[in-house]
Amino acid sequence: MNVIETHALGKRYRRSWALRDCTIAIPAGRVVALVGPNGAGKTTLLHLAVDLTRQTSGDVTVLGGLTPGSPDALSRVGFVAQDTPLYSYLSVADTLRLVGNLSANFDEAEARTRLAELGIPLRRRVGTLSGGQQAQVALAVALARHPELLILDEPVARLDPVARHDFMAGLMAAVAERGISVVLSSHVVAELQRVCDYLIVLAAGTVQVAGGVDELLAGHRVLTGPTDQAGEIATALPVVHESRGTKQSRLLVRCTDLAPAGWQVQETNLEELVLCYLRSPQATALPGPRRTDSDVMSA
Amino acid sequence: MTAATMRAHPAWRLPRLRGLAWVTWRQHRIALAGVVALLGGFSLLMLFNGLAMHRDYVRFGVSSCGRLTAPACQVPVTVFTEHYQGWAQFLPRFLEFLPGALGVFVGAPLVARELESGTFRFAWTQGRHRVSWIVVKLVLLGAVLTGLALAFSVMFGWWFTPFQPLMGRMDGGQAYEVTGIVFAARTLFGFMLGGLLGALIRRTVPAMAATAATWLAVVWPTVVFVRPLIEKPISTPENASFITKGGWVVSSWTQDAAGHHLDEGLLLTRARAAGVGTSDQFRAWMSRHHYASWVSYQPESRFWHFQTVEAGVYVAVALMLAALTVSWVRQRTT
Repeated sequence: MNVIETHALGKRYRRSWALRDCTIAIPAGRVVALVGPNGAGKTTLLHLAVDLTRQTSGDVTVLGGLTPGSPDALSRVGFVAQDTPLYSYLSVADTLRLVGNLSANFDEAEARTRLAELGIPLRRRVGTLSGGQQAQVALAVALARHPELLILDEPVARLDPVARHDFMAGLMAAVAERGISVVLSSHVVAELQRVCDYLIVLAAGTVQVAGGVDELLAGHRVLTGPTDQAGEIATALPVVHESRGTKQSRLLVRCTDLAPAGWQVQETNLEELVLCYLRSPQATALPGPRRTDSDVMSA
Repeated sequence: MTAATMRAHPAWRLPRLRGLAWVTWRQHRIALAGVVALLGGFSLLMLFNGLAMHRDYVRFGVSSCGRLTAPACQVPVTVFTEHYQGWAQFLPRFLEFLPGALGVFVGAPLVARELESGTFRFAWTQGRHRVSWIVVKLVLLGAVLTGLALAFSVMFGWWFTPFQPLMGRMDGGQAYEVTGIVFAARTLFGFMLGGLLGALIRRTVPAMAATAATWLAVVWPTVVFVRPLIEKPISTPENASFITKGGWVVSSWTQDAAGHHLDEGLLLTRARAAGVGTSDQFRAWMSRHHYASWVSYQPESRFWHFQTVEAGVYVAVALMLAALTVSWVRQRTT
């Protein structure tokens, strides 16, 4: 099952396209990082998946074919929006009651336990909590709804490093325990390698990279060697990105264990991989999983 | 009384709200408390003032002097009017704006605040669809506000009873705007107008300002230009005139025996040419030529007909605005 599946999905605001011709299939049971620079269309894609906005073209389904905004999709998909908006004038306890009155499968006791463990007092007004605590309240609320798919839009962007670490640790513990599918967008790439096992790079409204993190890392190598040979290598090997120094050059290449004479081969990491792709917008790596309707693969 | 003692006396407990009804109550209870305080404050004022006024109506002998046009009533009516007319004229002129204020303070922030603070992204993704969310809020808050406004109109109607035979309730900008059902219908209209403008403008304060301006721009021309068209006014010679008391005089003019309207300027020129100087001479000159002053008016007996028509239109428009708000929330594209 694919937790989010889109076909030629596009969203235009006035004149500019926030997302264009986006076809992806995000498999279930993964922790998916949706990465891209600001304005790449990450939020638009996630909002389309939770029916906070409507597409201009194409289509999108969640959890194996559900229409976003349908009663099933609303109750089985959890969403934590960017900057974790909550009602600042409500107490934490009233926030929980509010969600309990909005959603059918909300386990208020579980949310209370979770917040007690984090030392967040229920009587405090949400507006007086720190950004990290507000994010934890939003996460506790989302998890206590027992979603099959949890979507988080830049959940840690505004948090300090400690709060960011605590938030991710909390999320990962819950994921490990329950095996829910997670899609989270971020432009903080360094955080992701520990956490995510599937990567989607979105640039300028289109998908540039999509695939399992392990496969992507295994399929790329960094070559370091003399600059005067770099051009030659670039014609022979699929180079994603090259940074040429006066003597030494560093190339990220795809699918090779061949070390040209005089060149050093190293493994890469997720951050470097993402940065190289973002700096070379024309390069793509789209093996990805198969969409359920395989005929569109020919497109 | 604490929550614990509330729980110990189940008879005192309010009905338990669930689901979106609870959400609506929790999010808007402060606004509703403000509305109750505002209307309640004015009701208390009218209660104390009204008790004194009702007592003096009896004490001054207005209730026992017979027909109010009878000579025996002249002194009691004058004394009573001098005491209380200021209130009767001033209070409705102020209270008639309350429905607009309720729309501004309860209606405009309803959706605008969610959009402005981004909390709609929280509220609309927790399981209940945003169409149910907006429908429940509009229905519950609209019903509660309309109910409170109606109760307030009943209160005002009681307060105004002594003046009803003296001033009537038809004149624009007066008791007509606060008694009956027009006040409540305008409250519903103001609330739904605020709701829609809030959704369209997406920012609370500009939406409030736009609601106030639009409400006034609709209500004021209605009172002045549209209301007289509800039914053709009755025309009558002015000196037959106590019947117009309590009615609403729409226009006045002078006509000759054949019923032709006369231009006032022309009339004065002619009278001056005939050597008319004092107003007594003018009156004599007028009756010699069978010229008469006429008025056209809407009698007090049409009060409920006018109220029903006007309130009906406000309610219909309010429902249309509500439907637009719901469809906007449903199709929201950003």
